[in-house]
Amino acid sequence: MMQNVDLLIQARKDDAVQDDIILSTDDCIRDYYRLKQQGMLDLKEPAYIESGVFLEFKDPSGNRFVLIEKRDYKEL
Amino acid sequence: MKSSCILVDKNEILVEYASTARRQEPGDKYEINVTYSGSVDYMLSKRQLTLYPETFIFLNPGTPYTRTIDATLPVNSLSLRFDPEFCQDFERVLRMKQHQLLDDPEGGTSLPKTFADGIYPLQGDLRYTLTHLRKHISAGNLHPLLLGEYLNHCLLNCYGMYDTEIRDRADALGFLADSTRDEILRRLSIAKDYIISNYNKDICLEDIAHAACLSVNHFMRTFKQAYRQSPHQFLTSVRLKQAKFLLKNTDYPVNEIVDIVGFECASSFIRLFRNSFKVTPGQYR
Repeated sequence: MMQNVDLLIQARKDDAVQDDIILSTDDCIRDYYRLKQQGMLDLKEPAYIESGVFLEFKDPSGNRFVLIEKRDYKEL
Repeated sequence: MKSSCILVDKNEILVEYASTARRQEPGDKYEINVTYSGSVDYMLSKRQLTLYPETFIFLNPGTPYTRTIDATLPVNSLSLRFDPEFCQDFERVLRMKQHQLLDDPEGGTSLPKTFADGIYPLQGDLRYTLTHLRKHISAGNLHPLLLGEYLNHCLLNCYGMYDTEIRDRADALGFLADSTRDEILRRLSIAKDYIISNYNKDICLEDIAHAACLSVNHFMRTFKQAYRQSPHQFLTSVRLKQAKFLLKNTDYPVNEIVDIVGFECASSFIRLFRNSFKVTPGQYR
């Protein structure tokens, strides 16, 4: 499903939400399209933050995934 | 010449690879135009805009125009054309979401955020979204729903640029009455487009002020307020930006780039470049 996504899993160190699984990706909009095509539950539209763009979804077991595409906004 | 038009819903994506082309366009859609190599001339009634890499031209529906490519090397260009009805729907949905998200309902009514026809810097999220979109097109991933997502995000990214490109500049001229302020900003943006379109030529303040229908003094003062730099500093930054692009994307010798972007001598170019970016042109390359 996410063959192009770097599977970089890191547990969040702060105590905010323990169960989130954070993955990094090179193209969040493409992943949103793919996940939507597969009928992923609770898929949220990509949203913009200071460091790039991210989306959230839950797998059938209720685990929350966050996909982040980091973007460098400094002039190239 | 290679040119293909992909239809996505009521919108169009035009991909073109050509060294000469001349086309009359009805100009009945909202457009985002970019080029990844070489320049494209747009003639809108009496105004000429030149599209260079690292910038995009935004056009509103309602002005027929002529688009001309005349280059020795092929020009790689991409145009997104949004159906006005599609944009209305997009705006309506966006407004609804803002209403739901904001405690302050007034915040949602700040739309519509209208861009004037003109040249804007290609940066931030729009730059990323277009880069991804272009990658999918050249890889042949042309599923309308996939492309539609990118088109949506391009519009969203344009809205995101509104604050820095329009609102902040209008605010900087804040002491004026609203209607005066908008008119001054409109003329300054014509001046800005004139500078970008002619950045590599020997242009003088009188020409720019004349294009914008402002007196030289009035133009200098208000431009500095709105753009937080003098017209000359703005011109220099456009030249340096284009020089940077040419250093990275071509193998022209530095001397030739100095000439192409309109600097008079190589040593002052190298000094300016080093002062702005903390590296020499050679190191940057």
